[in-house]
Amino acid sequence: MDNDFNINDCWNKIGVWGREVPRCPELEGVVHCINCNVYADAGRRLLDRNAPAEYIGERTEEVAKEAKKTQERNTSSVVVFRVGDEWLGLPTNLFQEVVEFRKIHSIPHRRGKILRGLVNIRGELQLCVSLGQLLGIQRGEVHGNNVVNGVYERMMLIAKGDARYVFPVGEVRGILRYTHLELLSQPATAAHDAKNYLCGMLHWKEKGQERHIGCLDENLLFPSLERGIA
Amino acid sequence: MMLLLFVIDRDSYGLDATQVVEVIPYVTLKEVPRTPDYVAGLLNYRGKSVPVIDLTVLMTGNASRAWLSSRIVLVSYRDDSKASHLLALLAERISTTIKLPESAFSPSGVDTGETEFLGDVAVYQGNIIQRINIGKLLPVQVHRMFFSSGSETASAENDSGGYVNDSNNRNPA
Repeated sequence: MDNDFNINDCWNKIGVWGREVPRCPELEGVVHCINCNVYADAGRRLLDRNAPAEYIGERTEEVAKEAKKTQERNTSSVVVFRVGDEWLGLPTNLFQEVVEFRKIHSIPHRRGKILRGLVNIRGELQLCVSLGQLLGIQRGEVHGNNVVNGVYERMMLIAKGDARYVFPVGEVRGILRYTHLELLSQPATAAHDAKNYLCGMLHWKEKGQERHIGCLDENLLFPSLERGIA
Repeated sequence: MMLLLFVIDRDSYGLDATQVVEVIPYVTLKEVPRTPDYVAGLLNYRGKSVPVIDLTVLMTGNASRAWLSSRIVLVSYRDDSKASHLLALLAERISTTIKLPESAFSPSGVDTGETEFLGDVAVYQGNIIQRINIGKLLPVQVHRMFFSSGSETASAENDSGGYVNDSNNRNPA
């Protein structure tokens, strides 16, 4: 270890927001220590220490290995979410925003099954639809927020052309990237209403859990939503 | 242009990022007896053997320390005969890249005759940064030592442009 290795941790003494007196003159310009060069340089200096022998050994092996084959390029991605007990995916490029669950204002005299009402997203009223109703998915056993398991109900805003819809989901799991070879055809025996809207199935393993994700076809979904709210 | 910075003693030097193939951690090298001090050894890079030049030795005579911030930069090196080779450079404190316009550089005004590889200089945040001219890095006899057996070590994937030669022409050295 280097003998002259000592870092002047001024940010621990002066207060990172500069509320203490006397105020650090650097903070006039950078507001918070996190923007300051002194702080950044101190961080880099942490690397100016001897690397452990095991670390060097591991890296040596890693560098000597053959380079990984580049992944197939022709990939797409879907946002994976849950409606009722069903896991579904929609192409990522349709998504405008995912927000926390919020109140749905019903529209008087318009009580369709698909159209739930209006939702305020950043000051704009958007039509809120029920994907579960359209696809014939029951509410399922898991609903509500489950903070322990990281399950939060969300609202998703999707757009295609001029059409914009918000729909509530039980949970959003994230973005899944797949190659076209991985997109499986749906089982011919599926008796679900949802199968009419699917373009394929994806197999997803996460934390030991295996899931089948139904990928919705945007070209079928949007016209149906439009008909559903008319 | 984007420069990959490294520090020798207290001074910053930059490598043209377009010539950088990959930056890897400090690893164990196979030493080669009876080579100049600044030849740090041979690197097993994805099963290929690549000669490593220790830039700290080249400039100060002391070896680069085995720090976490010491890294090996693989560059595509073109010699005068325009053949492309993979060369590895070892240096300390490789942790930043910066962007500078080409116009920020001016000739250093110092020519020792032996350090042709030291190129133009630019001022960045109060420090003078000197650009390394990779094409001039190896003296002729060292070049012959590594690459005399034809251009077998040439990496086909980096054969895409004549950018190295361009930067050579820009330098008045």
